[in-house]
Amino acid sequence: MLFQQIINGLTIGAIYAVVAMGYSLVFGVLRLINFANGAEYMLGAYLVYVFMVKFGAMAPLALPLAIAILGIIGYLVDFIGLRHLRAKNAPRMAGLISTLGIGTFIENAIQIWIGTETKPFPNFFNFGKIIIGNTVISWSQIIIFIICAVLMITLSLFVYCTKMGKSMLAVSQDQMCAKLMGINVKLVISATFVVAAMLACVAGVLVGTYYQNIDTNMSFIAGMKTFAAAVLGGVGSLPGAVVGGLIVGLAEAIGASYISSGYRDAIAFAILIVVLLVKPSGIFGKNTVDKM
Amino acid sequence: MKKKIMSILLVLAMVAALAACGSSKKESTEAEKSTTAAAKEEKKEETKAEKNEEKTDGDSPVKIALYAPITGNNAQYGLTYQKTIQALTEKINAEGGINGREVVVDVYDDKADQKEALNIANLIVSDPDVVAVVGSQTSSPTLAAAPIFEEAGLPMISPNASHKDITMVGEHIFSMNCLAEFEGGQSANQMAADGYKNVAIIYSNDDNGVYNNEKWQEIAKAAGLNVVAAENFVPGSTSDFTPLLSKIKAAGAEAIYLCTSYSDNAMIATQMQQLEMSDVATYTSSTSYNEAFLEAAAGAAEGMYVSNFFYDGSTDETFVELEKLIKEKTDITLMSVYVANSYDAFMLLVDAIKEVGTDGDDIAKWLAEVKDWPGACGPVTFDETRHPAKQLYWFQIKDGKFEFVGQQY
Repeated sequence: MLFQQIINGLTIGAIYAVVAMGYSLVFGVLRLINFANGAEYMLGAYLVYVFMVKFGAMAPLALPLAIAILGIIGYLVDFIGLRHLRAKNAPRMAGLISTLGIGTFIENAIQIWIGTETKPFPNFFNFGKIIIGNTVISWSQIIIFIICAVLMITLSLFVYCTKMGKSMLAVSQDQMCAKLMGINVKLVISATFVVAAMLACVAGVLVGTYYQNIDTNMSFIAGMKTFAAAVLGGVGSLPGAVVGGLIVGLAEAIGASYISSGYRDAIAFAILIVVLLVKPSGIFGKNTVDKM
Repeated sequence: MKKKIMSILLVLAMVAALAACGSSKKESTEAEKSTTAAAKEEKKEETKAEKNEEKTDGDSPVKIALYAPITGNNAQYGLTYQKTIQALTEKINAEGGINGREVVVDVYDDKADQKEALNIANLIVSDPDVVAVVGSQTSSPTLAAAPIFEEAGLPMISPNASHKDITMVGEHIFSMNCLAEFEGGQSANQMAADGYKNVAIIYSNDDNGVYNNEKWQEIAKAAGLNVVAAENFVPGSTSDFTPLLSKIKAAGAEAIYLCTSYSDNAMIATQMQQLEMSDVATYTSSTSYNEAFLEAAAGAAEGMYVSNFFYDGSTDETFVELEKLIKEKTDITLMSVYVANSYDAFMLLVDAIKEVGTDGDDIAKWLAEVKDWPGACGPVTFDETRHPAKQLYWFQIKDGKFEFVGQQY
């Protein structure tokens, strides 16, 4: 049973990790938690649902379309909700509340538009299962894990090896200085929001296809868990987000089976508290003091 | 300078507010102590007088309040109530209303949340025109709201809440559902009758689930079953059931009783399929006897046993008539216990008001004495716990449809 729980935990943990990377990216650049991220994750899944189930589109068409739309929405979150606040030098709290508002708006719009009932979601990776002893590993679990791993590697390469990625790092270190060096800060910030929203979209679709169900509570749960994963790993650090996501996923699955499934969330957050007590900046976080 | 003035002003405002709060609270508690009893009596008489006046003028509408989850995870159920009662209201008003008075239904959305339900209950009792209340769907919000209605002397019937403590609140509180232990207990008996020995239960960690689990385990053990696992989850924030399902699988359960709402149930069914658990029999309650469940489970629920309080081929006159009305007036395509019970709750109140007028105490008394009233799931007589007795029918999901398996006595 332990092996089964590890497989279950790693699958969901990998999805958390992908969303947490989006959180970390935005936080690294802006020192801001983007609470609209959970809503973007839900919107991604619902868009694919609408395209496929309502309009009968094929998966290869629905997926890229949803990712593209989410990219635009990620840009709009920054453009509508945050750019003016930054221009007016508003306190960081204002930006945080703004993203919370946008997130709530998106969630409620979906509830009104599609309804609150749990919806069936197509399974893209229904290629059967591998059974080893008592453990069942479905191909969808394997494929989800591989997709998440590929996304993690691609994103790391993007951030650490491309010009745009390096500009992101530069902006996260010192915005003013980056501007003076000729980096288009506005463009870099927009790019982080677009990338984070696309990641959230993919993660939402993966969760949908894993459970073959989507519901209107998914954004809240994902928001809490992935936020915890990002903080656990150290907000702003990409490897931290990956490790944090996997730990939260594993802790949930193992805690739920060996202690009690009713305490699942409590276990994940208890680990978060313990880690933060020992290392306040998170596992991979750098110990820097923010000047207020 | 500007900032300083602002902050001083703010501090002053806060101090003033605090002082005001403190003093008013003191006054009110002292005043309450001495005059609550008297005030209550007065209020009651006043409202009685008002209502009597209304009765004489004859033209003012009769207002009945419905509180149920219209949005949120359980919206499917609340919307069924709303549609059913709306169709009934139209019909009653077309036939001349209650003794010539029009019926008006106010709908409140409690989102299946006890905090919302409490606020709504206070809102409803503050409206002097409301004479009776229907709601809510699950036990937690109903338990929160019922004491408010009892205190205000408003008769309330919950169509589906089945927790034992709800009707214990007082004489004005009724439920159209039988006690929770009946439905769950019968499923345990059915499991034993079907030849299973090692069984498990999955229940939601709320009032209804915890109570059901306790009763179900008692009855299952009495029926000679061996309960190998009892797993709970937080409803609404759990989508990954694989840890608890893996645990149940490892414990060697042959059959599982799912004490969950239909959306959780659909996810459990899907994930059981993923975990190669199709040889484990599943039993669930009437909460999953609806089309939304079949749609959400998308084929994964094949073979699941679902209980219900009526069967589709029923020739009961009330049932057939209700089915016709629902098919004509609403977009509900499958009769569920939520249609039947909201019909019973609403029509009982309407009949009571027809007979004894709009006084809350009189309505409650009439309801308690009602005998074999023709309900949609058979004749209704309330027992001393203000719950009716019910009969249970079993269905199995085959080819995406509920197929009648048999009746259980």
